[in-house]
Amino acid sequence: MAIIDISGVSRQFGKRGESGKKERFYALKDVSLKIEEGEVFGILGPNGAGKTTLLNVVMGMVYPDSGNVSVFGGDVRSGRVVQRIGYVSGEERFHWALTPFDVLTFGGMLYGLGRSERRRRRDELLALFGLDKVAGSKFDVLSTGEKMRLAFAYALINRPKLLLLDEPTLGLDPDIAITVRKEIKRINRELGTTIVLTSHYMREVEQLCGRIAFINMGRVMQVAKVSDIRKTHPDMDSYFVKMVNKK
Amino acid sequence: MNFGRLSALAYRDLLIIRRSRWRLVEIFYFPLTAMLMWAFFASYSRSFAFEAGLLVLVISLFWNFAYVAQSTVNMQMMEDAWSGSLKQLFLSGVSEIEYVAARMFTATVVSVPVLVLMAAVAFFSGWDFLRQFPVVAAISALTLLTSLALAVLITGLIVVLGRGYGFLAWTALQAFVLLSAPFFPREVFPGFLQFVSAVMPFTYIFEAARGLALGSPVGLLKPVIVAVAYFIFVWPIYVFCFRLARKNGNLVKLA
Repeated sequence: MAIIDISGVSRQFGKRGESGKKERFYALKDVSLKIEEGEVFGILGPNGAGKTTLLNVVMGMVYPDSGNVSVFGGDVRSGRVVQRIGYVSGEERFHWALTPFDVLTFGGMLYGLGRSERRRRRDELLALFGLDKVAGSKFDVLSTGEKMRLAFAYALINRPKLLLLDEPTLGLDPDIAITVRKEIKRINRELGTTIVLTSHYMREVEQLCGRIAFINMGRVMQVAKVSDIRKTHPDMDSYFVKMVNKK
Repeated sequence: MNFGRLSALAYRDLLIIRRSRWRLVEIFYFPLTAMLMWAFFASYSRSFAFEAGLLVLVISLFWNFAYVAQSTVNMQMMEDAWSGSLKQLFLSGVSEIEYVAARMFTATVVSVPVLVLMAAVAFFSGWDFLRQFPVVAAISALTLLTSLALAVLITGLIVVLGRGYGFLAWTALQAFVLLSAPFFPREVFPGFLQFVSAVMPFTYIFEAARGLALGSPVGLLKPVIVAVAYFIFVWPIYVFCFRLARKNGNLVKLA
């Protein structure tokens, strides 16, 4: 069953061109995709390809100019749908004055968890993501790895059925990135969470994703299984280069 | 509207304010120092311009109260935008109405103690408001309602216009106050400005406050009608601003 069904979605934005005049450009053009329940789906593309815009459209943060987006069979603008989605970005931020303890307590309250369940879930996630020792430290003094782990912990507080990851290992040390990837695999394997991730790192895509969509200049160039791509390309990097240069 | 989400947001807001010393200072510092300044002026002017000194003191009380209430709502939003945490809030299922309603609750909790402190300053400077407490309380309630309505409007404007207009959070109220003729009747304005002032949110509140200070009471019907009208009309504008911000992409840029 398709958890995300994107059909004919287009989205334009305006920006100042070289002449100084405002020009319209397509961030997404006629994008159609179906993402199945339980899969780990990658969205690849160069910078400015439209990956983040696509995630923003799926999350309802940006409305498409045309086309339809359905998540869990419903309109993503409904609070019920959004509450079943978790989101993590490589640039994840929480208010600088809040601690991991505060963030997860607040998250539990926001998702309507009862007091005892909230405490249990908070403590469970703090332990799972190795944040118990920094649970009382303000966000702005946490290391990059700790901030990222907190972002994951927060995104999982409501046990989402769908997890959207926007460049989840961006800027992380390799050892932390490995831990994050292991965690992504575990979440998918043990909880059955559908995961959609955008990434520049081909190794990461190869390790994590079953299928990918390659986006360039707002268009979906190809949707394919990673295993099929590996049969025809020596590695994902060469596939990436080929797709970027494809007209 | 989900009250669980509202209480979660309010909990978060109050935690942030308690933890951010500069926010606490800002909330109390500016209004109290302004009141002290006008309190000293009221004392000084007692012998030659008693009514003028008292007028300035009373109007400053309501003006500063309005500022604290409105700016608390909008500064909390700007902090969410600056910290990059706005997106996460909306992705947690918080609606735009819940978002601003929680902030309005926080602003009320924070601004009422400030009002009490400012009133104490005014009291010890010679304004015995306890004799007219019901009217003072009514004008305070109307000031709060109007400021919160403006805060909703300003939130919508910042969301739809973009991050570059974040300065409206701490500057917009000044324009509304100026055009509401705080220290003088609106007839002092030139012709066209009188018309503008007639529809400003605080005009009749300040008129009532001036009446209170000068011992010539003015009815509260007009300020009630204007305050309620503003409070009702800002909501559809606010919701429309969010829809537009999702359409033009400014919401995601702000978040």
